[in-house]
Amino acid sequence: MIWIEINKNFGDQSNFLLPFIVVLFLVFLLLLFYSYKRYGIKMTCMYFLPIIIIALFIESAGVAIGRYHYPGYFLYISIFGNGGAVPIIIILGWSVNFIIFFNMGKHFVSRVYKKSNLVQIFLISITAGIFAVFLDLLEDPIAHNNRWWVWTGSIEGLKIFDVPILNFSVWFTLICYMSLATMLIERSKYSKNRKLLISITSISITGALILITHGLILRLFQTIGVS
Amino acid sequence: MENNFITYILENIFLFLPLFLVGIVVTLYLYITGKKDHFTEKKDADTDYIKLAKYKINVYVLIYLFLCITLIVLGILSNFILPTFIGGLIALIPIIMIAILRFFSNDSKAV
Repeated sequence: MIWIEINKNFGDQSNFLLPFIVVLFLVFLLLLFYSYKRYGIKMTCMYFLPIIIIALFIESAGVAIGRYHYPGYFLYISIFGNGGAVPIIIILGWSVNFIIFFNMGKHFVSRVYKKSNLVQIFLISITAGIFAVFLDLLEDPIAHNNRWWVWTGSIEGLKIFDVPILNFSVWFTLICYMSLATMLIERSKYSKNRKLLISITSISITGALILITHGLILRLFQTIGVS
Repeated sequence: MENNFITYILENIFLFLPLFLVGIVVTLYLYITGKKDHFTEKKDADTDYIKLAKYKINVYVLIYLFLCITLIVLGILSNFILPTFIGGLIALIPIIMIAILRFFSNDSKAV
């Protein structure tokens, strides 16, 4: 069911794709190495694997239903057969996004709210989601303009520089829920082995929550007429 | 568009439903049967710093800044000036907020 495709027309129809990919891959390697040195192999897997798996499902679904596509990349992966191929670097890019915003959220909130409790976990998750939207307001319009990924006309409603507003809600929801799940698991008192297992098995719950929230936000946007 | 998404989930229900159910059951099992270790984890948020000149900078903030600068440069090179300018200003808000916070917490040499 899972297959990998190699595209021989690298950079086709895109501008500045190579520097974007190189920077993203180097940052991914840097974060992976830093995490491994700092937390060890089990915790590194706990931080990176769930977001990679969830991003693979969400991105594949987005491509398969025709919301957007990724032209000109080298290596693609698909979990649903033909029609949902996503560049591997994009999936790794989501792990970069998550690790950065998750830790920046922690860094910021721990200065404002010092109590280590559930409220702090919620605040960190929401802050991480908001920071993600801030970066995406820069990244997505440039990506669409340079055809690193292309939004099709299938999504109606309010757009910011040709990027549907719904996209920003997905960034917020994904980073917020992943931060919430990771914080809850990270702060539990289980062994590292069990934390790693729970982080992987709980993907289904986090994924379902993301899907439900996304549906509710979409309904809200439709009600107020922006989507 | 929402119908597309729902139709898509339903078309792949034999993939999603077992994954969802197995995930819930196994997660609950792991939660219920897990023994809790009573050790205190060190508070480690303050150790993610590197020193640049006389400034202490958080590793993740530095990487975020690097990504922002890369995107801004690529945006300018592709003649996409106005969206890059507006997006760049918005993307720098988290860094400004963190810097201000550190300034008022009497640790002005750390970002």
